[in-house]
Amino acid sequence: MAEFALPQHSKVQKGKIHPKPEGAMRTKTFNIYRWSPEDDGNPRMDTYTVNLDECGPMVLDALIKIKGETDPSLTFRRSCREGICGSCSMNIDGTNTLACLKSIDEVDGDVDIYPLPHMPVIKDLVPDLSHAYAQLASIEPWLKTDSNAPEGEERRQSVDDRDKMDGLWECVLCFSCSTSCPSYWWNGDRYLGPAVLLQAYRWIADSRDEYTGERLDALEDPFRLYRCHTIMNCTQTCPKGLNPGKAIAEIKKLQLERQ
Amino acid sequence: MEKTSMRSPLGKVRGLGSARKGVSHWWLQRLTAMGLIPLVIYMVISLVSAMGGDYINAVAWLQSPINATVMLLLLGAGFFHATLGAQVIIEDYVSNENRRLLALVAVKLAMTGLAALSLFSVLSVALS
Amino acid sequence: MIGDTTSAIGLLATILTFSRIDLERRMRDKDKERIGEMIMAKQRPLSPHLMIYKPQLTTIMSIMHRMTGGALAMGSLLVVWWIVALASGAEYYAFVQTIIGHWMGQLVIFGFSVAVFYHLSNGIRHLLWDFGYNLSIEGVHRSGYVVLVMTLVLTALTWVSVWASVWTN
Repeated sequence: MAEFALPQHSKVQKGKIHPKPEGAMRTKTFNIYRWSPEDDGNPRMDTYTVNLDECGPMVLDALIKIKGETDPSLTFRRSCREGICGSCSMNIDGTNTLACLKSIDEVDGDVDIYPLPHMPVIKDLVPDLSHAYAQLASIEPWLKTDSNAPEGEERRQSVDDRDKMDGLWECVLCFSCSTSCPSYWWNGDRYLGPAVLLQAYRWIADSRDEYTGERLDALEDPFRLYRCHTIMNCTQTCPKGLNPGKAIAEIKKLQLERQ
Repeated sequence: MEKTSMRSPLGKVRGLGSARKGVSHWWLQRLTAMGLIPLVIYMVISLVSAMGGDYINAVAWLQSPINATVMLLLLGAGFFHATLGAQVIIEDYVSNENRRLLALVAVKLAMTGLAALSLFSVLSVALS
Repeated sequence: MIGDTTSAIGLLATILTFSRIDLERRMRDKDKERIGEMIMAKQRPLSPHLMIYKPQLTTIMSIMHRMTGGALAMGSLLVVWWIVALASGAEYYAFVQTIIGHWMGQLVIFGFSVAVFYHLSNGIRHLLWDFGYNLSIEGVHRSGYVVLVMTLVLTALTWVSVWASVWTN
């Protein structure tokens, strides 16, 4: 059976409560998932209280403040802090998003922060994405052609065809969508998941690509593609406002069209 | 829990390759669904308006050619649709290959048996 | 005689060599197992999923579609039973009717009807998605609420009609 509960060693326990900042007028409490391969034992939830008057507006600002001032061992990925690198994806207040795009004020009550769901944890909020990246590599996300590009020119594309790329190229590969999908939770070993299928569609929809049929062949599989049951958690959660659910529906339509 | 493997992540993902099937299962599920919409609506209306009768009324109801035909189509499409759906659910949740195969065979045989039994019963009433 | 002895010694030596190889192999396997256990002990935890993910319209309506589908497959047993009863004659049909007429039977049929109308309405929503319509998140939410209302309306309409129909027939 698919495992609906966490394995024994993954069960989350109560953790440390760090003291509240003194004299703070406006505070917010953050409960953060912690696990390190260096300590023995299970993951735990540590509690930190942040003085909002001395903190930036986003959840990432709070994480950086906690790491800088309270607990340097707190580990998370981050880079651009403006929603373009896709590094700081995590589960905040029950849904997946980028910490740099999630405003602290959006969350009522305490802010619960977990790593992306149903992933092996390297440390704290850092999940192991090797499998997801391998899935991306498997769909060969690059232009594949047999004919040569025109002499001294780029491969040309009509304005209409270029418009078809919009809503696809913007994906920052944060894997918020894939890890929000119950189907990916239970069958992620074989199901490619919304992020990778959106990328697959990005190359299928590219008028310059000459391997559309081969790409569709590689996807026509009960597990790789058809584990998508249009739950739509992916589109609901995408921090960039993209629509992986629609991209997958388009792939299914093309599979039918070529029958 | 899977044993630690030295295989590369890409090797694992490529695995045994694409099955090159899935469209027909997906399409048949939709096709039966589209067929079931009018069949279910007709059956609900017909059943509800015939409600409250006795055995003779019920037999007469099923002997009407339209009611009998709709019932046959409904049962045929319904059991087909249910079998396809059950297959997806089993594939989703039963991860052990042997148990998955066993469950799939059991469900398919049971559904076929139920379909045969109900179709025969409808015909025997309708043609009596 | 001498030849026999040599071959006997040879055989013995062979057996000893092989059992030694076998022993070494088994020891290596044991080591592997132990190393495997050590890796397992330090295994990375799996991050929480279902238990922490916020329940939302998308997930709930999807799992309800699956559950009503399962309920309808189970409920088909009752439909088959009723048809078989009809084919088996008046006496057995009357027996089945008394069970259906019992309040528990009525409750099961009521549940069955809710499952029919939810699965029907949400099935149409799914078909529209499959043809590429309504896939924006607003569309998903709007159609979700339409399905919930449709389920209520169709169920209510059906049972009012059943009541009226039983009263007139």
